Order: sequence, then C-alpha cells, then structure tokens
Amino acid sequence: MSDAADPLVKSPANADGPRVIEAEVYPGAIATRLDHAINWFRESSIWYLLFATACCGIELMQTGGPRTDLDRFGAVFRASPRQSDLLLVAGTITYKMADRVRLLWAQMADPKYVVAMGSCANCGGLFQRSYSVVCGVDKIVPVDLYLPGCPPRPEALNEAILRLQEKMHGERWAAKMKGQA
Amino acid sequence: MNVVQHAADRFMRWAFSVDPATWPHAWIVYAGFILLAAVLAVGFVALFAGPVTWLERRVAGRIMSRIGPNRVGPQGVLQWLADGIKCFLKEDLVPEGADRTLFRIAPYFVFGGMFGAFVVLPFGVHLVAADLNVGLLYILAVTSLVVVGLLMAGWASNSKWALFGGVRSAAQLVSYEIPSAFSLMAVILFAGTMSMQGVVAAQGGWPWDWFLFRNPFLFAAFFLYFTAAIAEGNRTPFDLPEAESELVAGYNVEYSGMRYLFFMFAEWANLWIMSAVATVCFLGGWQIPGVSPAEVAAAEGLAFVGWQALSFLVFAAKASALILVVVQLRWTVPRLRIDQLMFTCWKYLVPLSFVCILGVLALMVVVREGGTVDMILRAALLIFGFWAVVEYARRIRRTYLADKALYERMEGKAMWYPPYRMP
Amino acid sequence: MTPAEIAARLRTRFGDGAVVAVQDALLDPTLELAPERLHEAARFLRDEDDLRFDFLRSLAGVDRKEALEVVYHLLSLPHRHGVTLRVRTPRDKPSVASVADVWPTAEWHERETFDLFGIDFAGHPDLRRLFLPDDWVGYPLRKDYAPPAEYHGIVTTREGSLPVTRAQVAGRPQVQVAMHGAKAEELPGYMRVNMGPHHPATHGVINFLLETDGEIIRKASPDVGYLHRGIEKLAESNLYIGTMPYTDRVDYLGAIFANHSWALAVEKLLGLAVPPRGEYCRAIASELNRIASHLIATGALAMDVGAFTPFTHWIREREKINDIMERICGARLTYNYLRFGGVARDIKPDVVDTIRLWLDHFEPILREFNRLISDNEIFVRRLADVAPISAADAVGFGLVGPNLRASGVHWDLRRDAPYSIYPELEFDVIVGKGFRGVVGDCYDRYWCRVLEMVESMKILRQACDKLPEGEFWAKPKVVKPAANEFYAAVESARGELGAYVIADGTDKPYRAKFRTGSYTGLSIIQHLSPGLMLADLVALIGSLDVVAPEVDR
Repeated sequence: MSDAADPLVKSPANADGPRVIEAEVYPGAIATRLDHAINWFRESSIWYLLFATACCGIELMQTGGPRTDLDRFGAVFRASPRQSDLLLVAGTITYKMADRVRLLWAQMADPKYVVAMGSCANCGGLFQRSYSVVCGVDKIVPVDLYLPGCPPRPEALNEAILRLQEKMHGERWAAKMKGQA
Repeated sequence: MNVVQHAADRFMRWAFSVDPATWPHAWIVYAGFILLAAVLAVGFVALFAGPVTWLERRVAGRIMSRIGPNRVGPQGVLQWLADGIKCFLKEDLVPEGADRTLFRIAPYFVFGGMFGAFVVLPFGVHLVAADLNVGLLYILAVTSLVVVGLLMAGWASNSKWALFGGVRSAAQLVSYEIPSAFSLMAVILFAGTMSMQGVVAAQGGWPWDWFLFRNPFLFAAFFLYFTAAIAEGNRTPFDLPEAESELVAGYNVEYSGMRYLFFMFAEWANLWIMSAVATVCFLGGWQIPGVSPAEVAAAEGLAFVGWQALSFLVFAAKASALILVVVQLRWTVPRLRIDQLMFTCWKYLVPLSFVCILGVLALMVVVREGGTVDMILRAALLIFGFWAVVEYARRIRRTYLADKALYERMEGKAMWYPPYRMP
Repeated sequence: MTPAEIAARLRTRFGDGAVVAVQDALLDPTLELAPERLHEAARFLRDEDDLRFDFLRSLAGVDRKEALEVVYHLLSLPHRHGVTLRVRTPRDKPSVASVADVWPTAEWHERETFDLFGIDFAGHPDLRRLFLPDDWVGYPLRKDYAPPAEYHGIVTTREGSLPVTRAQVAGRPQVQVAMHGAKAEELPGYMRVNMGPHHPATHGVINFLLETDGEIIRKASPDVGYLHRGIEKLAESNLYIGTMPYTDRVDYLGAIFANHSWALAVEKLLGLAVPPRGEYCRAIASELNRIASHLIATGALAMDVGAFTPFTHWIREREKINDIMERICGARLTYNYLRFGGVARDIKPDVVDTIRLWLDHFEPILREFNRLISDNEIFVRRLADVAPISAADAVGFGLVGPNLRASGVHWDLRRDAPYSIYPELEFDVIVGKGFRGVVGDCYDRYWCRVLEMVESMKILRQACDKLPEGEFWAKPKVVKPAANEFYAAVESARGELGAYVIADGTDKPYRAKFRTGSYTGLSIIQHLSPGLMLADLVALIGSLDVVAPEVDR
C-alpha cells in the first residue's frame, strides 16, 4: 500500500487527520408505544444466520453453547437466509466471498440486521494489508453493530445481542420495513 | 353421536324456537357451527403448538446441558408468541423464478392436510367434531395431502436444494404410510371398528385394558406405528428432508415469515396427531381409570361438564407423554441416510407389520377374551411395561447423580441446579 | 540415504546434467534439478526400491527476482528418509513439468503455485486458479505484484471508503454472483448443485460443485479460496515474531501447532535452543490444543450426521480447556503463545494442578460420550464402510495425521520425526484397523481421533509430572537469521503442519510457506466422491476434519 493511502503512515495526504462521519437522523425517528410492543416481539426472537467464516465462527459456536447460551434470549441459528433476521458476519471476508455475502444479505427478508463480529469484519483486522481481504464488511452490507475483538469473547457477543435488542426497541417498525430506519 | 349437529340443533331450538329438521335456514346455523368447530380445532392446535415448542427448547436445553429460552416472559413461556408474531411481521418473499402460485399454496396443502385430521380426534367423551365411522382411514388419507404440499414446496422454490428436500420427503412419507397403516390395521381388526370413538370404547381406563398390553402383537404394533409416525412427521431420526447440516433446511429453504410458520405449525400439529392416534389406538384414549363410559354418558349438568374436562385431561396427559418421548428422541439420536431409511421401512417395518396383523388375527381366534391365556398375556406385558418405565427412570437418576458428582469434584461446589428447579 | 548419495543415483541414471547442483550449505541440503529432467527424476525417485519417495510433503513456489523456483520436499515412508528438490525456471515464461501423475497430491499444490506465482505446469490435467477468483489479474506472491485499486466495485483500502453511509451501501446494485470454477468440466445429463460456500457445517467457507444423479454423486469438486487471506504474503512484510499471531489464524483450532512449526523453523535458522521447561510448556499447550481440536472435530462430525447433543457437550468441555489456556497464555482461541526460544508465559504450579484436576474430570466424560454416540447403532451405520481410503491413496494424495493413520499407515511425526520433548514421553500411535467396518472408512477416522484424545491425556499427565524447573524462554538478542532455508513440521491435530521458511539475512523472511493437513485432506474428496450419496459426502468431509483456514491460508 502506498504511503499516501496508508493511514498508519503520516504524510501530507492525510495530514488533516481522519475524516468525520456525519450522522444522519432519519425523519420520524421517535417510536410510539405500539412500536415498542411490536419491537418487543421482534427482539425477543432474533434468528441469526449461521454464517461463520473464520475464528470468530468458533467463538460464535461457543456462545451458542452451554456456558453463554444465546438461546436464552430466543436467538437461535437458522441455516437458510430466508428465515433469519440477523446476519452475524463472523470472520474475515475475502473478495471471492464478498459477492456471496451480499447475496446472502439480499436474500434475507426484511426487517434484517447485520452485526460485524470481530476485527476482520469491522475493518479487515490484522489482514488489512492483505491483497485479498475486504477491509470491513460494511463496504458490502450495511452494518448495524460493530463488535470488536479478535475473536470477541462469548460475553462480548452476548452484549452485542443485547445492544441490538436495545437498538431494535427504539425503531419505528413501519419506517424500518420501508428501509428508512 | 354427531356433537356438532346436536349442539346446532339445541341452539336453534333455544334461540329461534324452530324445528331444525324443517326450518329452511337451518343450513346457515349448521355452517356457522361447523366453522366454530374448525376454529376451535385450529385454536387448540395454535395454543398447543406454541407451548410445545417451548417445551421442546427447554428439554433440548436440558439434554444439551444448557438452559434454553428463559427471558421472554417468566421462564420463557412467551417465546413462542414472540417467534410467531415476529415471523408474521416479516416481509413476504417469493423468490425470483419460483412458480408463484404453487409456492404460495404449498403451505396451505400441508396445513390443510394436517388440520383435516383434527375433526375426528376424540378429545373427550363427546368432544369430537365428527365421529366418522371410518375415522382411522380418514386420518391416514387426509394426512397424505402433506406429500403433495411438500413436493409443491420443493419444486416451486426454484432451488435445487429445495427439490432435494421435497423429493426425499415425498419418498419417505409415501413409504412410511404403509407400516403406519398396517399397524393400525392390527388395532382395527382387534377393535372391530374404524371409528375412533369405537376404538376407544373397546378399551378401558386401567392400563390392563389398554390395547398396548392386550397381546404381544399389539405391543409390537405400537412400536411399529410409533416409528412409522415419527418418520411421517419428519422428525429425527428420520428428518432427512429438512436435515440442517446437509440440505440447508430442505424443502423450506426459500420460505420466510408466515409461510415458513405454516410449515412449522404443520409439523407440530402432526406431532399431536401422531401422539393422539397412538393414544386412542393403544393407550385407551380418554378413558378415565375406574369410570365406565356408561356412567359418564348418564351424567347431567355440571357433572357432565366435569367428566368431559377430566376425560380431556386424561387424553392430553397421555398424548403429552408420548410427545415428550418424541422430543427427547430428536436430541439424542443421529439421522438415517435415505437408503437406510428406505430399507428400514420396506425390509423391516412392513414385514413386521404383516406379522403383527397375522398374529393379532391368530390370537383373536385362539384366545378367548377374559380367559386364562388372555389374563396371563396381559399380566406379562404389563409387568414388562412397568419394568421398562422404572428402569428408564432409574437410568436417568443414575446418570444425573454421576454428573452431579463429577461437577462437584471439578468445580468444588454444589451443582447449580437440582432437577426440580428450573434455571 | 544422504542427499549426496541420491544425487549420485540420479546422475548415474540420467546423466551428469540432471542434477545441476547439490546445495550442501543449506540446513536442508537441496538438489537442484534440470527442469527438463524433472518428470523422469520424479518417477525414478518414487519407483526405485531403495529410494521410494512416495510422499510429496510440500511443493512451494519461490520468486527469486531473476527466476522463479519450485521447491519439492519429498519423504519416503518405507525408508524414512527425505530429500528436497529445486527447479528453476525463467521469469518471463515460467514453465515446469507437472508431477501430478507421479504424486496425485501435486495436482492441488501445482494449481496453487500457478495461482500465486503464474508458473505454468506442463501436463497438468486441470490447471486453473485455486484460491483467487477466476477474473483476478496478477500473481500475488511475486515480488513485483501490485494489488488492484478496486475489485467488483469494492475499494480495496480502508482509507478510501470513509465516509460511507448505510444508505449508500444498502443501495449498491446487486452484483451477479459468478459461478467460480464454472470453467471446470461439466458432465452432461446430471444435476449441477452448488454446496456452499455458505453451508451449515462448521467446516467453514468451502464450496463443492456437485454433479448428482438424484441422490448419488457423480463428481464433487471442491472450490476453495473463500478464506484466502494471503498469510504467506503478509509474512514477507512482517518481522519474524510479527508472523506469530498470523500463524494462529492459519489453523484457529490448532493455533499452538502452527505457532510451534513457525517457531521450530525460525529457531533452526537462528540456531537457537529451547530450555527444557519451555519445551515441556510447549508440549502441555500442544496436547491441550489437540484435545480441544479433536473435541470440535468429533462433535462436528456427530452434528453433521444428525446428533446435535454431543456437539454441545463437547463445547461445554472445550470451555474448560479454554479456561486453562486462558490462564496459561491469556487467550481462548488464538493463543500466540510460543516465542523463539521458548514460550511467552510460564505455566505456574496452580495451573498444573488445575490441568490434573481437569484430566480426572474429563476421562469419565469421554467414556460417557462413547456410550452416547460412538456405540450408537445409527451413528455406526452412517460411518462404517463409508468412503474407505486405501493406504496407497492416502499416501499418494498427501493425507496426514489421523486421516493417514486411519488408513493403516504408521506415521506420526511425534514418534517418527521427533521434535521438542516427545522422545522422552511414552504414548501409543493410533492406527486404524477397521474398528467397525473396513480399514480407512469414516468410522476409523473418527475413532482414531477419539483414541488420540486418550493418548493426549496420557502425554499431559506425564508432562505435568515431569515439568522441570528452570527458565522457560531463552530470548534471542536479535532475530536476523543468515540466508538459509528450512522446512519444520509438527504433528498437529489435523496432521503435518509444516513451515518452510527462506531467510535472507534481514529481519523479515524472504518466503514463508505453510503446509497444512486439511489442504491435502480436501483434495482427496474429488477422487473419492463418485458413487457416494449426498449424506455420505457430508460424513466424509466431517470425518476428514477439514477446516477452511488451513486449506486457504
């Protein structure tokens, strides 16, 4: 990677520091009581797609296991993207895999969520300088929650599911189905 | 007696003061009552399917030494409600290239096939929507509609994996109809009637009056029917059509939201039908131990309602015990490969069910009901059954205690949940 | 036989020009062969009675600025000797004779070398890219490779993509997914199904292109590369110690083994000795890791066959091993525990006591597991007599580890090419004998793993008892090995995990190549699959214990 593009190397090209991401506030973002009720049903039954690419996949399996049991929250794994609400991208995404991740996400039924689990899914992780790794799955699918860790502990994944539940709780369902939330 | 018609007649006499036989608008009330009976049946299944999923997940959790849903509602009892409403709120997806009409109606075939069987199930003394005199045959016939639905789902999804699942499941369901029907044939021959209420009436409340313990061929027929029914219901060890680790959810790989829920609903409904039929045919149905049907039929007013409720509870308890066995089986045993599944059916179950029929016929001729040989057979089978249940319980206790000792040795503290407490 | 003797034999047979040079100065004396003699020499080396090099351990490409090289590491299982060969080919038109007909495993190795270096292998049955997508431009492991700025609309750097809003990403047009490997030969009249890369198995993202006739498979070709992360290229731009965390990711279920092979190779290049306590710590960590890996392997096989419960029980037991490893080195999965000259942290006495306590706890659970699933009639029928691998096939396709031993071949690196303190420990090597079916079927592979867990427990007990006092890390002053090369291998849970390192006198390696067990394990599936049923294919993949990062690196 050339020095100008490499964020770890100080050069005139990136002398202004990292660029700021503007937050976007969507119209009608306040949820009503009916929305809260509907959202309670939705967050109590998050079916996640069993999508494990690399090491984070093993921690995902350990999280579904006896010690930290995701099934307590109603979160079970589904094999088919059509039946899942949550795409838990666990592991490194390569360019060869990128199109397929996009296809899997497109096949999921609305309302759907994506959690980028682990460093590789967040930003490419320790493979950022590799020629074949996508530097973050948010280049391919819109991510709702970033979960740091390499790999994140089961407790961290548990926390991510709880945070996702909080996020779902505050959404307007009608706007979400139209794709605005 | 035809409960629905009887109730409609009484309603018409009470509400409109007309004679049902001559009133020209009687058909409207009949239609209304039929609809009501259907709604009650569907409602029963809906209310049953949900909590049974809760039971399955908690039992699965306990078998797998984890917890299972316990956050959604107290001890997780509302989990099924959340699952159902969430699926209801999902987008209605039809895959590109799928046959839209067939894709949409396939779940209804499966649903309809399953629910059609509910009208003849005797839930209590008089709690049966339609006591057909070909009840068992009707159940076997109407549940075959499921095959059509699954094939449609598999083909219309425009996915090769769905096709695999659909075709496998069609082969499996059609094959296992045979041993299932033949084991029930043994019961029909012994009871002398195909009517469900008739089969229940031929048994009694006490275990030694159940068909299960009457003669060894009926005992074998029970296990044959149970195995074949598990295969009919696509449950492990016969869940090849929806084998998750092979077929990515099999025939319902392209279904999402409400349509997927229909398939799941039908699977749970089938679980109930299978257990209910086994209860009716082998375990004495709704018969209350110690009370004869004549006594129940003669009761009036509140006692009448009480007997109905009690018989329903007895029926539900027996069916639930069988359901618990099926649920435990799912999480214990691996699944059979398709050719092994077919061999099991055609090479083992079908010949054995023939043997059962012949055996039952032979014993019906040779053994007089109430005679010495009959009593000896019943006593022997009863003792064997009792011993099996006791041994099962002792085995569970032994394993639990060993597990507890191991845990305490490793962790240095008492095991965190005893069997009587829910985590 | 020494390399000089082998060179003499080759020169006698093929003339003086056959062996261009005998590089004695290297730690691994290498014979440089003339390219035109390679194929005949390979066949001679394999077939001669006193040579019998039947096992191709590793085939690596190297970019030597002025030429491209291919390095072959050969092993003779009957005679227990090894030799390294090297062939050079000009950079502008690199072409080497293919040895795929001599050693079937070379088919995949040569495809990989073609993919990453662009070397054309003349006579290869099906030379196409292995890891990278079919429309990739360039050969990444060459020294002059420049990565593209974008691929299919995805910008290849992190910097270039900020800021991005979710609306922008969600609105990206749907890319038509290319069927990779579509150029592979298609059999007419059969149904073509894609199994993967997202498949509900724990084996990761591997794709199989199946041609099926109903339920029976006529051809199953693995299509890999969905997890190709370029670890070998990254190693060239890291310090030697900087590659240690990357080796964790080469095999995440057996991270200690990958660490160990990397440490062994670099220590040999540095001439560094490891103190005894360090070796024992390494052995303890290795055997714990082996048990943890076999737990997942056997559990995943049971889950693929339909029994969900044993897997969760095994996950529960693995959590205890994770706890122990966390006390040893601070991580649950990607340990990064070994250093050059020893280990990063000491195993304290209380951890040793915990390990002993855990061993007492685990043995009865293993027996219970066997009662639950290993003796289950349905489980046995699903695995016994399914896809037996003959010893000749196993050796030819380069299978290693429990896969190789289940086919009846007595080869375990811990005993036959010992490293670390394994010579001082007593353990049996488990070899398949047709426990419930024929030799080398799926049940043998499964049962070999279960028995290996028992052996690992034995080793752990001995290691815990014999753990000596002393320092655990002889830290080197500077890690700058002189120009040399070495291939070091350890016996990982999945077999031979080897690191071939070429040092050039700087503090970064010139070339690092990892040879893994699942890589060759996956390559045999195409050979075995015709005639199998779909359910058997799943059982076969599970019994071979294939993990995607080992295949793709």
